[in-house]
Amino acid sequence: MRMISAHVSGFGCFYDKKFDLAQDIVQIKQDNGWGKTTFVDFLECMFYGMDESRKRSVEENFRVKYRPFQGGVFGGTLTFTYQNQTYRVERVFGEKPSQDTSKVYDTNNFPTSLFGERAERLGETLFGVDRESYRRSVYLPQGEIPTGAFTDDIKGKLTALLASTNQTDGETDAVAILEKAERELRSKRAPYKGKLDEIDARLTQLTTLRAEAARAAELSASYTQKEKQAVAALQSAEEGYAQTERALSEYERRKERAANRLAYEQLQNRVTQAESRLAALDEFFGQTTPRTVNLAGIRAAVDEYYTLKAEEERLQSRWAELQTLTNEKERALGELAACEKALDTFRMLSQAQQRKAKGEDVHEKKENKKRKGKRMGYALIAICLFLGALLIGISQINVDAVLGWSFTGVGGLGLLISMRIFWKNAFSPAPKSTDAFADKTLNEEYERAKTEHAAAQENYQRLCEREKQFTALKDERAGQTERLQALDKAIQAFLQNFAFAQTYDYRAALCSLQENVESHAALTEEVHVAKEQLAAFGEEPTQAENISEDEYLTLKRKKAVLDSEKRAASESKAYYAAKREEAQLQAAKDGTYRAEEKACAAEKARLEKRLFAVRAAKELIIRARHNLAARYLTPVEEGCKRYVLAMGIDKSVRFSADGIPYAEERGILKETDYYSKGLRGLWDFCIRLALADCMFTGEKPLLVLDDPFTDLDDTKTELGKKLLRTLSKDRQIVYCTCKQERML
Amino acid sequence: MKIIHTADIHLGSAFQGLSLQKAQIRQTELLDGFRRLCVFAKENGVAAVLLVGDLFDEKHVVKSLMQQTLSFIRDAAPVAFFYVSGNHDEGFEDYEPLPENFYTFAGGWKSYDIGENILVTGLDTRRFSMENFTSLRLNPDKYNFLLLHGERTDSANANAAYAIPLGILKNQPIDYLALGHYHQPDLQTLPVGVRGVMRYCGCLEGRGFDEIGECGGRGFFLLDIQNKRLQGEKFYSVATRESRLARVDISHCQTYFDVENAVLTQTKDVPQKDPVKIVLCGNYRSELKKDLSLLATRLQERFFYLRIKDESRLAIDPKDFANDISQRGEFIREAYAQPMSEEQRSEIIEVGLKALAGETIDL
Repeated sequence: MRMISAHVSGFGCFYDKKFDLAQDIVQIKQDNGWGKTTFVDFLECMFYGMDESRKRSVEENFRVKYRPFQGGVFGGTLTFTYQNQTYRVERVFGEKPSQDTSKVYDTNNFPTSLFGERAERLGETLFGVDRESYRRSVYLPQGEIPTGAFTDDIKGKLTALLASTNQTDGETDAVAILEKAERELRSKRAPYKGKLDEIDARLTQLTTLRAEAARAAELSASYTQKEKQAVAALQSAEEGYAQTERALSEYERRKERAANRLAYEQLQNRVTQAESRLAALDEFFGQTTPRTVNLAGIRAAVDEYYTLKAEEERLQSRWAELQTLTNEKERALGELAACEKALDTFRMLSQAQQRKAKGEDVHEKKENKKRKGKRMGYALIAICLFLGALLIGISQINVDAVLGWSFTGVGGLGLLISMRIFWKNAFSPAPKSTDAFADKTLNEEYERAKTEHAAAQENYQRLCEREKQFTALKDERAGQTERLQALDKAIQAFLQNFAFAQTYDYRAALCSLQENVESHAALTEEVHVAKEQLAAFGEEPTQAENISEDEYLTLKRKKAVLDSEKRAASESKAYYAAKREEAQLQAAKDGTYRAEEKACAAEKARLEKRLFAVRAAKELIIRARHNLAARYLTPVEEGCKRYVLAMGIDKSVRFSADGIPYAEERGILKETDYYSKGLRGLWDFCIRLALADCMFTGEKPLLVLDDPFTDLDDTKTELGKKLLRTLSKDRQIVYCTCKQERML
Repeated sequence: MKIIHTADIHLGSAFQGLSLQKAQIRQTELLDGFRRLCVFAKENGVAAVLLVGDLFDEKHVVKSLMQQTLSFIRDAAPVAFFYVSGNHDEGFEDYEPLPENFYTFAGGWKSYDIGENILVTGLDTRRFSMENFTSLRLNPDKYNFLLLHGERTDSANANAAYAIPLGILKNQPIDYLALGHYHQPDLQTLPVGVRGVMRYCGCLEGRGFDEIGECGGRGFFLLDIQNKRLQGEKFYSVATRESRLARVDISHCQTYFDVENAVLTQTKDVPQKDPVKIVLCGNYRSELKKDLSLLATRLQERFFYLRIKDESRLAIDPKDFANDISQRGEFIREAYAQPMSEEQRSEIIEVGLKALAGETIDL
């Protein structure tokens, strides 16, 4: 394939521009910024059409980047020869791919579909590679070493080239991404945290949970069974309990019946006895109705009777007393007279004595003085005793201390007594005598006589008063007697109505009567009540069965046992019911677990498919890399050697098995790092040329070189030019430079 | 006489996949659906309600749920409830006391005469056996309801799980074979035996996306039997929520937002109260980033519950990569060289291309 000419209608900075491309080497010497890249991209668009990738950045989106600045038609034409035929491709680019128009015309200007109806296969037909491959291998921009560091292996270069990345490890990136995804799905290291690991763990957990739920279901059945047993036991205990309660009730009823019977019989006895006693009382009362007996009246009468009687007796006794009183009065009168007489006598004596007394004052004074002197003597003796004892006590002169002190005590006491007497005599003189008679005896007799007189007088007066009282009583007595007689008669008449068993005095009779009346009333009431009680029984209670206290105790014990069994059965029932419910709740979760298990299994299946895809993709990508490397490595090495030789470099490049380039110098392989940048650039250039040779199996595409020899010395530059001239024999070369001396 | 045919109520369902709160809401709605059925039966003079299996979702029922369910039945008296157990529930043998208007079919075939020459006969699913099916004898002079929960089969073989061998039953004078087990209702009855009809009544309330049916509707059938004939029938839909399915073709989508818009367009008529399952389908370009987790996050508030399933495939034509001298091209060629299913291949290529493009792999 050879380009002949190109016309740019409008493409980036080019507008209605023609290019003559009919040379083997199309040399373009232009300054920087002229549009070399634009021109190269235009050629690409002519061969492959507008790039339809939806890249948003201006740099990457040709449709946006190269829309003509001035407007107008966006596109152009390219005339070329292919298989000795000349063709012209015309392309106009619209706003959208659907608006693009493309056509290839043959020599006769007829449209041809050799390269597709819309020239969509033009580039692939011409070069046998797609657009990306063409792009990667045709254009060698200046200064850029798209293969990265030269020390990277050829595989990496090839991969980077073929992956159209600027990184040598473009393949590694993809593998790394896939390995990361693989780890996220299935981790190789503990703790295993891949999604599949987590799902497996959860599935294991769910299996356990489901097993627990199944076990709970079994337990639930077991608890249900036990609950039923507990219910049965409870029912049995309740029945037994009810039965025992009934037995106890029956016992109580029997006991009650027995009690009733007893009560009935007792009542009957009471009635019988009461009636018997009533009969006796009726006999006593005779015609008289007991309740009509005026007990109060008869009591009052009897009381009055006895009161009167007592009064009478009292009066009777007092009447005698009156007689005695009279006698006493006379006697008292006599005594009074005697006493008066005696007093008269003593008075006469007194008068005589008074006369005598006047001459006895002097005698009295002498007596007083004598008395006083005696006392003073006694005091003195006491004081001497005291002092003597004190001296003895203090000096303790061969005298027992106790004795000495005893003397002291006695002396002291005597001193005190003396002082008192002294004080008394000194300040309280002896009283004057007030006796009527100097003679004491006589005086005493006089006093006695006076006393007797006073007493006799008082006695007489008293007796007189009493006599007056008796006179009043006399009248009273007469009335009482009459009343008494009447009462006696009445009471007797009353009492005759009753048949007393024996003779009583009225009081006793009344008591007896009262008792009988009360008894009669009580008995009547008793009989009435008893009969009412008997009537309340209705019919006569049956004979009581044997009531045994043992039987009662046995039943009580049995009831207590059954009550305890009931409680135990109830607790058991509640326990198993709660356990059953708990187990049922647990068992009911099986549905949830099963559903989750199903979901997890589905998710696991999906993720395993994904994991398979990730692993398969990784393997295929690695294999693709190896395939490409294997396909291109040797040819690239051979081609590279050829080009290196053509460039006059005596150090050939060899590639290791891993594709790492080594410089071979005198049979020794050295890493290319040891060499200059220029030499490394040249090797890189040769490798790319060799790669392009390998990639384009059909027509060799053109080569667009942007000043590739800037880093070379003159000799190598010349060799490079020579190489290009050689290459131009089988491919068209577009050679751009900004330096005249580097023109070919 | 009015009779209700219903089944598969599945009270106590776990609603796995929903949040705890939403699961509780659904469980309550399920129970309320049954309550409303009971109220409807009582208020509309229904004589009998036929509960053909799976009243509960599990064999072991929480006591409170059991009590509540039986209280609804009890309160609906004098409506009689006839219940056969299904493959999920296990009957009421251990539960006492049962309401007086509640009739079971424990222990084998059992028949109840409900008046007007109508006989209700049934058999618990766990009693299914060849012996039992061959021993069935119905009175030809009655209008016979037969209650069976299981999978109808035309054969005479009852060995498969829950199989209802119509081949054996076809000679019985069945007038109405009330079936339960399938959650989609037969809106039209099918003939059975010499004189009868049969149908599955579906379920009262959909519980999952596997129950999205083309027939539509979840509810019960109200039958009118007069003079031993089925005079009328009506389907009552009582479901609180309807599970929805939306298939969204993303072949034309170029960006995530295109996908989102396509989903929104497809679901614009779906009420917010309903759960929705979105299935992405079609062949999408390799440049498209679907980001399903983002889609779920942004859309989940629009519906009661949202589930997204991705059935879309990467649009890859191996011919497009024939001349791709690159790792990607080589990878595609290798993928097509391996023997595997298309689904697998599609997934591998999708994963590989994303990795080669430096993008994170969706798990």
